[in-house]
Amino acid sequence: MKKKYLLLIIFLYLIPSLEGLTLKVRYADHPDFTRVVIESYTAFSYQIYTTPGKIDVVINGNFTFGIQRKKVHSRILKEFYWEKNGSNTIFKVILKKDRFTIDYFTLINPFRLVLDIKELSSPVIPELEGKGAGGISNLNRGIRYTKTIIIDPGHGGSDRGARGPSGLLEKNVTLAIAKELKSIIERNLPVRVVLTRTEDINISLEDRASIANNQKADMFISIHTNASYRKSAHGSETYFLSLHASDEETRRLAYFENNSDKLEDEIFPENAEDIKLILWDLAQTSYLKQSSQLAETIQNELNYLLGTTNRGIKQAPFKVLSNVAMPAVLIEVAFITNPEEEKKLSSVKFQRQVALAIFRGIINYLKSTEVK
Amino acid sequence: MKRKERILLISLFIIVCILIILIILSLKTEKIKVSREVTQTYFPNIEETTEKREVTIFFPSEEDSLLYPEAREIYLTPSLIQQAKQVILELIKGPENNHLPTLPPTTKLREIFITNDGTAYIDFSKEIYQQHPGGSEAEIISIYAIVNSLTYNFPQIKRVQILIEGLEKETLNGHIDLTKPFSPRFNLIASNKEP
Repeated sequence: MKKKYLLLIIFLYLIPSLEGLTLKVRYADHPDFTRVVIESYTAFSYQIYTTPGKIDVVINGNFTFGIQRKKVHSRILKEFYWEKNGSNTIFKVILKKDRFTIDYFTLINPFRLVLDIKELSSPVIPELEGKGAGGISNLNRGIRYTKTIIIDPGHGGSDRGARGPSGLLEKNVTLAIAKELKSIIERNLPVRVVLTRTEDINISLEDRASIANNQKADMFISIHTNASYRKSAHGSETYFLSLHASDEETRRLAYFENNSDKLEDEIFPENAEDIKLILWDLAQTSYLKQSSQLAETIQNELNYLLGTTNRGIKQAPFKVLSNVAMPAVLIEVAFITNPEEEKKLSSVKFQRQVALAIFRGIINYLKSTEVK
Repeated sequence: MKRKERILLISLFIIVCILIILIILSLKTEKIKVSREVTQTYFPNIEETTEKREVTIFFPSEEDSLLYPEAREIYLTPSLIQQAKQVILELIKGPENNHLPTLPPTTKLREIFITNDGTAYIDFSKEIYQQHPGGSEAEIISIYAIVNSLTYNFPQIKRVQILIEGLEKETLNGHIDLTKPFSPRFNLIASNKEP
């Protein structure tokens, strides 16, 4: 590993010093994102920094671009320019909109750095936009079917969750963010919000799911803070359920997905309870698509808030999500094991920002589903 | 009469005292026996064969949330369970290269069972969750380090279920469901990632 890295560094150091290598840039608008591609004959290492309306691509090495500054005709891009900064070359992308998310990856032969930029629609939220008349009525169609939202503050009581290096406890942070989110939603939307716990008490994962199912809720949002063996681990992640895809279960699942309507009519009364139990066990499976959309709209907002650029939507077999019969996600707001993020998580201001970001995500999700 | 009564009473008292002391002592020795059983360390006896084989086990790295391979040599025992035990013990022992541990080093491997249909049950001591940092990322990485390390090296093992102190446990620390067996997720291995 190390050798490779060293070679790469030497390689990067030698080539550009011979002549400032020229990088090619191209871009294209796609239906829901805009792609910018930086192409090079040699691989380069880079870092990407975002601020509202601006992307800085710091390329390590002495490179040049064809033109100093270029106006761009695109839905979201405004212009490109670049400058030298010591041994780095900074390529700047100016956008027409402040709010966006970015996804990036590299391809080889030739080496290309690909940036996929997606505009974030700004939801109309009365609280955020002053008077904002008509905000709610615009949303009315979207929230017609949404009556109850469950917020699940992770851990609690003797289960304190993860612990930060200076002693911050996950159970306290999750409850604070959940309470803030509840009050923001209730101030802005005509829906009922139920917390699975409102104080520092133990609640089993099964009970959390039961509360949601018994309330016949339309959305389940579990709030956690992440922990890792990696000291540098940082950023938000939003999870939705992945099944334990054992072969047997996949077959069973396929059977139920294909036959669940028929099944309800065909079961004999004495077996009804068994079948229901099995369906309950797979409660989340029929909502996976909606759950993934909800995860994406929330994660986009959290990325924007934290300035993180990875996608951060992940799938794993979470116990608490598996029994929930509604769109459900689990948010790992930030890493409590990272000293910097621990500090942020302990501040009331940041907790409120996180709650607002999740709220924006919920609104965007509701808007996207209103067509149905 | 009175003297005789007194002597009787005193001797009775002494007898009762001796009985009580005996009972207390026997209780204590029983307790000691019990606690010895509980704190007994689990050292799976691995047969030391002359032939060895190379295995690949997976550890997290500071770099990202993926798993990185490390090579180890284990005894090529005729028993698959013994080979699997050696892989898990290496995982508990921790990384040799620049990687990070993924299981608390105090964790003990209690037993491994493998069913005919290829499900391996790995029974750990309680330290696996008590000393664990918690959090989704750490849980996912710990679980799939175990699952991938076993399924990668032993094609006979198709899925892995984790037991703790001989029992099924809901989760390590409130996140990933341990009540069902895990299939491998090789997309969590760093080298399998697209360049």
